[in-house]
Amino acid sequence: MAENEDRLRGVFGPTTPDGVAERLRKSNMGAALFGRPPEPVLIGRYQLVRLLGEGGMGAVFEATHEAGGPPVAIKLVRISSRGADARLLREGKALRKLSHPNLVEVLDVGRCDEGVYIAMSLVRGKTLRDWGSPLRPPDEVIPMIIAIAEGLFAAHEHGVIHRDIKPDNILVDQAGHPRVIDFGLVKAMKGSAVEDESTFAERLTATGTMMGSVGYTAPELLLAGAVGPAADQFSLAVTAWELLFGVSPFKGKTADGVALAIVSGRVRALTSQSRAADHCEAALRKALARAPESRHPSMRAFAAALSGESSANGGSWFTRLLDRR
Amino acid sequence: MSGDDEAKLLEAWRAGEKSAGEVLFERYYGPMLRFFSNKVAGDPDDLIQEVFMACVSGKDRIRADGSFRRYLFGVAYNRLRKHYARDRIDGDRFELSDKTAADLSPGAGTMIAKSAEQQLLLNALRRIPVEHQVVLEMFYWEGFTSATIADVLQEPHGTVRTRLRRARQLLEEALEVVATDAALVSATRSDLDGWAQKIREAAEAGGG
Repeated sequence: MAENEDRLRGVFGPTTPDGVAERLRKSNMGAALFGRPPEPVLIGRYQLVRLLGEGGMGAVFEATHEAGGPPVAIKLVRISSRGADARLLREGKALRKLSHPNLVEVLDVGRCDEGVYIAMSLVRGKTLRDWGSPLRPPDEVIPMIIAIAEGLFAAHEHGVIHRDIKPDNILVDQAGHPRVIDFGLVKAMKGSAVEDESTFAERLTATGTMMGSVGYTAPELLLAGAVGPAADQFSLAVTAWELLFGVSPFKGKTADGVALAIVSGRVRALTSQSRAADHCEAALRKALARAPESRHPSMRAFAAALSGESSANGGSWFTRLLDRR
Repeated sequence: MSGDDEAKLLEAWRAGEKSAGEVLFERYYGPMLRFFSNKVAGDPDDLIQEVFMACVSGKDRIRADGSFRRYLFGVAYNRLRKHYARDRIDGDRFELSDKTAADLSPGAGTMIAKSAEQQLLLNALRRIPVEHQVVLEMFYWEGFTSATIADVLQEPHGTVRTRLRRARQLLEEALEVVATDAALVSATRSDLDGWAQKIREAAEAGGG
C-alpha cells in the first residue's frame, strides 16, 4: 500500500485539472455566483462561451471571434502522437476549401497550448443518432442519407475522405438538414500511412467506443489495406441500415465478432417485415460489399440507387436534390 | 490564509461582500471540482454551485477553532448524499456504506488523469463504497487528519480511523481488479498486428 499511497497523493493532489474546459467552467460559475461578466478564456482569437461536449479526442466549445460575428464551434484536439499536430493543421487547411450545405464548414485551424483547435460553423441541432431514435420511416431516412451522400461526394471530388462516418459524426440542424463533421481528424491523428495499425487502435480506444467505431469501419480499413472513397460509402451504408432497421448489419457481441463479420462480408439477413423497399436493401447490400470495387462506383451512384423507388415516381427525392445544385 | 481569516471572509460574504466570496471561490473551486468529479457522472458544476450557495446562505457559524475548509467539505458531502438519494426509492434509508460511485453514477468519472497509472487509481476509487472513497480522498488529497475527517463527516473519530484502514484494503483489492482489466486492454492494444492477422485468417478459413 505504501507505493499506492504515493500514487494516491500524486493524483491531482493538491493540483486540480486545469485544462481549458475546467477554466471555462470556473469562469462561468464565478460569473453566475457573483453576477459579473465571466473572465475570458481564449483559444487563439476566439473567446469560449460554453462547453458543448467532451470526448476521447478533445472537447468542443461554443465561442465567439474577437472581431465579432456569429458564434462558432471550436474543437480542441488533444495531440497524443508526435507529428499529429502538423498533420491536423495540414488537413484542416485542406478542409477549409470544402463548401457544401451538408458539410460543416471549417473556418480556421490553429495551434494553442493545449493542442490544435479547429473553428467550424456552429450547428444547433442533434446527432443523427439522436435524430434516428426512435426509428423514423424510410421516406424520412432515405432523403437524409442521400443528402449526406451528396456532401461526401463533394468532399471526395476534392480528394478528401472522412474515414469515420457514423451517426455521431453527423449533425441534424434545426431545419432538419444533415451536416457532416470531424472530417480528416482520423487521418491526421493516425499518421500518414493507413498501414499503421497501432495508431488505428489509439484512435479507437481514444474515442472510448471501440465497439461502436469498429461497427462502421470498412474492411479495408480494418485490415490496413488501401483506403478510398468507398470506405465512406461503406460506413454510410451501415449508418443507413441502422436508421432503417434498428440493428447493425453486422452481428457480433464483441469488437472481434463485429470485425470478423465485416471482413467476412457477412451482412445480416432481414426478416420478411423489412421496412424498406427491395431496391433500398439491394443498394445498401452493394454498398456493404467486402471488396471496395464491388460497391457503387461513387457516393452519387449510391444515392441514385437508394432513390430507385422514387425514380419510378418521377425521381422525386433525387431529382429534386440534383436540381437544387 | 488562516482558518480564522476564512471564517471572516465567509461572514463578510454572507453580509453581501462579494469580493470576500470571490477569494473563497478562487481558493476552493479546485478542491470542490476534485471532490465531485470522481463521484458523479456528467458535469458536476451544478453541485459545486449548490455547495457555494449553501455556504453563503447558511446560518451556521464556523467555530472559532474550526475552518471554512472543513465546513465546506461537510456541506459538499451532504450535498453529494442528497444527489445520490434524490432519484432513489429508498432515499430516506439510503446509505453510502455499501454503494460505490460506479454503481451510483455509471459511466466514466469526469476526471481525466495525467497518466494511465493515475487513471487506474481513479477507476479503483470509484469501485469502493463512497464513504470509504471519501475518507481516502480527504486524507490523501486534502491532507485532513482522521480527526478532521471525523469532524467533517460528523462521525466518531474511532469510526473514521477504522474506515480509513478498511478503505486502504478495499482500494488495494480494487486496484488489482482494474489493473487486470487494463492489462487485458493493453495486451490487445499492443498486439494489433496479431489481432488483424487473426481476423484475416478467420475470414479466410470461413471462406468469406
